[in-house]
Amino acid sequence: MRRSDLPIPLLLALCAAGIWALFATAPAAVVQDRFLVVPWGWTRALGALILAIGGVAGSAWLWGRSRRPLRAGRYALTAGTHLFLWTAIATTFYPVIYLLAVSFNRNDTLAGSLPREGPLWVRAGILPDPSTVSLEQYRKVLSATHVVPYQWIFVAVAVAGLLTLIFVSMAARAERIPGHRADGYRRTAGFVLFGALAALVVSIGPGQFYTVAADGTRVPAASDRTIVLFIRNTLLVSGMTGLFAVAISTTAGYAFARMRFEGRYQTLLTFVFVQMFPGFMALVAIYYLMSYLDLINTFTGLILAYSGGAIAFSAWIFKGYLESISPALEEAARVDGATRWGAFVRIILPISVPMLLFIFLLQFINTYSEFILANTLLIGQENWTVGIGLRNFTTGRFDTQWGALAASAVLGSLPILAIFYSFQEALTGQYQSGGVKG
Amino acid sequence: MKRLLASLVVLGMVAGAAFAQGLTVWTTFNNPTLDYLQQDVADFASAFGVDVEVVKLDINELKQQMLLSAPQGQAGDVIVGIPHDQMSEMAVGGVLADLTGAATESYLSDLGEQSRLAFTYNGRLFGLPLFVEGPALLYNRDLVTSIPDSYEGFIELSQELTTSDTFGFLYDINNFYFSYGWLHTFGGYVFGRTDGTLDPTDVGLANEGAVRGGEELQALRFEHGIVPAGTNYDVANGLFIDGALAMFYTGPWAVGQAREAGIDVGVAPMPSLADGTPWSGFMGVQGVLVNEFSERGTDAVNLAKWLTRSDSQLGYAQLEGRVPASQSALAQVAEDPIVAGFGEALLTSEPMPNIPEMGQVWGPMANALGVITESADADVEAALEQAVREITGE
Amino acid sequence: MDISRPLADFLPSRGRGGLLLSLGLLTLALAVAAAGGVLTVVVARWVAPAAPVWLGILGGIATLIPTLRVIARRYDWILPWYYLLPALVFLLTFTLFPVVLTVILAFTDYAGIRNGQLNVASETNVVAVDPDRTTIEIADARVFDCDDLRAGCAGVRARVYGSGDVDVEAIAIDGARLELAEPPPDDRVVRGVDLFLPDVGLTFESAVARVEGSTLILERAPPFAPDLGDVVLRLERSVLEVDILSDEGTTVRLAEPLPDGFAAVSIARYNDFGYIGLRNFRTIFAQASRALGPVFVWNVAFATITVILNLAVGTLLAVLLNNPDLRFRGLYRTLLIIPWALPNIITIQVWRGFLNQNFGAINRLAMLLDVTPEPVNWLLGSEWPARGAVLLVNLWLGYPFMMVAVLGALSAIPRELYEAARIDGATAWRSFTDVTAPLLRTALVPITLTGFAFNFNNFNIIYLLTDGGPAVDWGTATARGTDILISWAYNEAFRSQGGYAYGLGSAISLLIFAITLAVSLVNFRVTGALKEVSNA
Repeated sequence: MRRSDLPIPLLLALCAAGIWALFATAPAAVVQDRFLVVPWGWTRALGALILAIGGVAGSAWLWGRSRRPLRAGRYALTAGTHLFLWTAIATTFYPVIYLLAVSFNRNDTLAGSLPREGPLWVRAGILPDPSTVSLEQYRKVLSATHVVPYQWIFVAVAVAGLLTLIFVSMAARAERIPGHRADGYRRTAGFVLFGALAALVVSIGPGQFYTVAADGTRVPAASDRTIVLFIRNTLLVSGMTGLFAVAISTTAGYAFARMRFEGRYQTLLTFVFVQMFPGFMALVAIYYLMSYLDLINTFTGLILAYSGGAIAFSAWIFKGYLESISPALEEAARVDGATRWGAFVRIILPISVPMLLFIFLLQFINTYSEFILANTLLIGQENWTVGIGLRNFTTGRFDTQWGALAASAVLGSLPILAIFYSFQEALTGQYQSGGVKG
Repeated sequence: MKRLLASLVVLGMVAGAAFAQGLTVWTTFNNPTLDYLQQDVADFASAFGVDVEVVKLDINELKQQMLLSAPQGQAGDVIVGIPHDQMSEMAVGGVLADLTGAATESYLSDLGEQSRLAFTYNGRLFGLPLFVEGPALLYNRDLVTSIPDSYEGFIELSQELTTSDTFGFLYDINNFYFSYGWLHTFGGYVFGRTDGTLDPTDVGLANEGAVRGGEELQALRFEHGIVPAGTNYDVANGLFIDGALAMFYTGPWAVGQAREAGIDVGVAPMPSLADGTPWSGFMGVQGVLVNEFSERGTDAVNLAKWLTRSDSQLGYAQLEGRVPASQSALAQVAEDPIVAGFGEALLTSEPMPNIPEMGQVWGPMANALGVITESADADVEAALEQAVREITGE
Repeated sequence: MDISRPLADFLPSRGRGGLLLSLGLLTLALAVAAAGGVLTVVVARWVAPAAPVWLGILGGIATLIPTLRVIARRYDWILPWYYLLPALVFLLTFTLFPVVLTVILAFTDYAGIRNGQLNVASETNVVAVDPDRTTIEIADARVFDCDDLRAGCAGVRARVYGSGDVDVEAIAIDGARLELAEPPPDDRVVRGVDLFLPDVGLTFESAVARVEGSTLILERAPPFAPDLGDVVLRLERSVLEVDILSDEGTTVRLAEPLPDGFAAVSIARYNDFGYIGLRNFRTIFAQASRALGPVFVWNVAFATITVILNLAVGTLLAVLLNNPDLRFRGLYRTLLIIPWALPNIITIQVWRGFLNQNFGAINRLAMLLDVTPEPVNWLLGSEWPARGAVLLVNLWLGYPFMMVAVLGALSAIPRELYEAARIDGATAWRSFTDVTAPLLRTALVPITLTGFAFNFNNFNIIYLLTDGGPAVDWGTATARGTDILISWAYNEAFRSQGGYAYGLGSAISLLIFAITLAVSLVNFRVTGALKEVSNA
């Protein structure tokens, strides 16, 4: 070790000692009105943060100075950036971690009194008591789900696909397999997962959710035990809406992007302005339209009700994307004798697959979180989506079972998390390539 | 494109829920009452040979969904478990069947007067009562041996029991359903009666008595320090189940969960005021309604009658301590301390007004209660008067 | 940067049609398709009476395709419109049509208790009928009154009923065959029979399948033995639809005389609703100082502040992450977008638990660190902490979107510009202000506009976090501390305290639409986005 390296461990040790001292000399926590208070606690926390930042940045600066004197500042800045980003991540993740902790907890309410024993953060209620960890809530929430034998195959295939995806991603990051290979594997695994999930979604029915009464009869399960059914309903509705949006809006986007015709501007304006109407305020009108078409309490009706807004927005995005693609490809195809429609299907669609995926995912994610329209058009509990089911935990009754709510929330978020992260490149990549213009 | 649409339609046919041939029961019950209802319905189905399906709905959406979907023929045939104050808007909206001719004399005479009146609107019976409920004082027998005789004594006891570990008395203070007890006992009322019928223009929620009641509510929080800020139903319920709350002003539905958690639950009416005025809160009658647009009206009415016979009512009483509407069933469970406690509280309660205008009372009053309990200097009279202005629609 | 423009038009200009002609042809095609759809439904219903109406859609599509082909052969310049047709049809049916219906509703007094249905609760007995058979006396004036209708009882439809049930004597019952002492009146339809079942203690009504003389064949045999001494025959009440001319106290005047021989027993009226002109809008503006005004101001403030906040945080994080030399860059980005990845209907409800004053994690953390002397009443106290909470949670929810968008915009800036700036001696800060910021600005404009428009009508966060917010003494029951225009409209139309006033709710949503439209127009004018569209 060079002599100039000595100050770094010294600096780090000093900072660590400072932080330890700040916490060790903190006054005992006082109970004040059912809260645990450390008087002037924020000064210590702030001090610790400053020491941490100073220590890390300072060490980085010193380290930089010994290696590359001119770039020392850059090193400090980088170290500071890392620290800041981790702080941001910690802040963002706190609610998520708390939710997970509540879901893995035996106790059922959020409003219990503070525990007596345990480390400070447990006694203060910052996080639930880890000693009461259990799978009780998940067991409760999944207890009424009965999987028909052939569906286990789909589940197995889906799990296999998911594991492959994760494994390949990790291997690619560790650079064990070349990038393009990894992409190929990921794509196949993604399709396998998607296919298995689609099969599951279509095949699961409300009849599989029951509890068995004392005399052996099947009693349909109550709403706080059927989160899997709600997830299935939501996946079905969101998936179909996404497919619908893609199917209908691509031709419209193409027309706007490539063709010039009288009334193009006006139609474009109509598309833009019509989508500004807060869709669900026409709730009563939509309801009567659906009941006239005999589509009340059906998923078809709900999907069609979503389609109006979905199509306008998707067409606009697709148009923007197409405008950034050179028309030379189609020209070449037309010169070779293809019709306009042929060029569209054989040239444009294949190269816009990333954008189509993006549109699908965007609509999927948007409809996943929509619930006012779903709440009105879907009446019975067997048709509820995740949002309605979760809301029923807090408004449909007087006593909120927070543990079951948390478990259901975690389960309800898993599909969209999985989809979001599997297609993260597609989702965020569109913004990167500048494909989305106003 | 065509193929896609065709497959979409097919998928819609597969995935869309088809209505079962037979009766549909809409209910808002949660377990274990829901289980009991399913059982009762199954008995009817096997006895009468009619298929019946039970669908659970959200209680806040039920009225709206009935009003919107019943005329289109898309609503349930029978509705079970709706408090009687919600009935009249649906009756005026024309979606409830007139059951005046359907109830026999023997059934009607077996009902308590209040229950029968609760579902009577404009002289017609629009629902068959199932059980009666209302808030009373639930207490943890380990922490409280007996409830004091007077309201003032009750306040003192609550203050004594409010320590750093436990609370003496809590309830959902911003919920008008519960806080009406204070407003009414001290002299307020919702709608006055002219010639025996409720008069929607005579709103007594801002009179002297109501203002005094509102001030009492403020005192609960600020002067006596019993009900702290941030108390809502969840909080009170959670603490009661934990054993950290001595007294809880709530309804019969809370008993089951507390018992499951091992609490030794006792029920008593809220104590009277020092001047002898008995405590009077709201009373709600839960009943069974029939859809006017039901395609199987006969079977629907029969099912409604089946579900409200005194044997069924007995079951609800034994299950969760609900007070049956039928006097004969009540006589059979009179020894159950829970039923007896609630029954005693209900003797002096006032049934919720069942005119359509009642639907417009909850929101403004919740607003007013929120304003009143927010700070010690809040103007109680102004808040209540604003609420009354909104109720009468100015 | 639309390089396709000069090369864009492939279509040979062989007779380009005008907008009106195109629309006219499309309308014609759609009309033909509609006719085809209706025909399909008629035929289907004739074959199977329970056929659903949406079969008509299939029939319509089947008719549409050949029609379009025929038209295209004659006017081949209409092809672009065919590409637009599916989208146009869906837009028209599921967005435009409901909008039109809502506009119509906004000028009516349509509500839950004024829904055009028969008001079963208004039925009252007819005491006397005048000799001229147009004026009748009713038993209870209060029950029958039309006070909540827009013009009293004038012009309201009513229903007059004839007689109903009759007690009969039954002789015997054999399975489903019930024998009566006398045959039922043959001019009336037998609806059913009431049988008292002593075993259960209740009376059950049985439907009658058919009548054979004095024997009734019931639909189903009663499950328990009936008491034959207590049988009531339910006859179908005769019904007459009439129009009311006027109604004073207990005197009701009808538009047309009742037919002779019709014995009127009772009368009930319909819940009439109709055109009321601008009354809904007058109501809205009458309480503007309590409702419309404060809500609008908060709505605009909320949308503006939240966009600025989200953009600021998003830009900061994006700038930090844009450094290609930063290790774990991908990991950071993956982790930081989690609030966007999680469905907001779940996370907002979780946040509501967090913000509970006495038991929520946020206050527990704040108290532990002694940041505030008293726990903050986020959601149930004064409206300012509630508004702060809304902005905070929306920041948590919204910054990932901004971060990703800005990252995308940043990646579009060529690295050569930075190289050039560095060669020219610019510091990190100067290269940010002179290279990044200007190029970022043009890209950020559409993002900001989208964010503003989205948050202006962001129903989810208001409804799920505060449900309109704490009660305030300057508001109303439907317009409270954190209510925005859209949640206010929802409260009026779909909540009991609004009385299910669908007409009023529609009027408010029209107002919202007008405001959103105006705001967007201003934005488009300022940014010139529409100019780009019209030139492109």
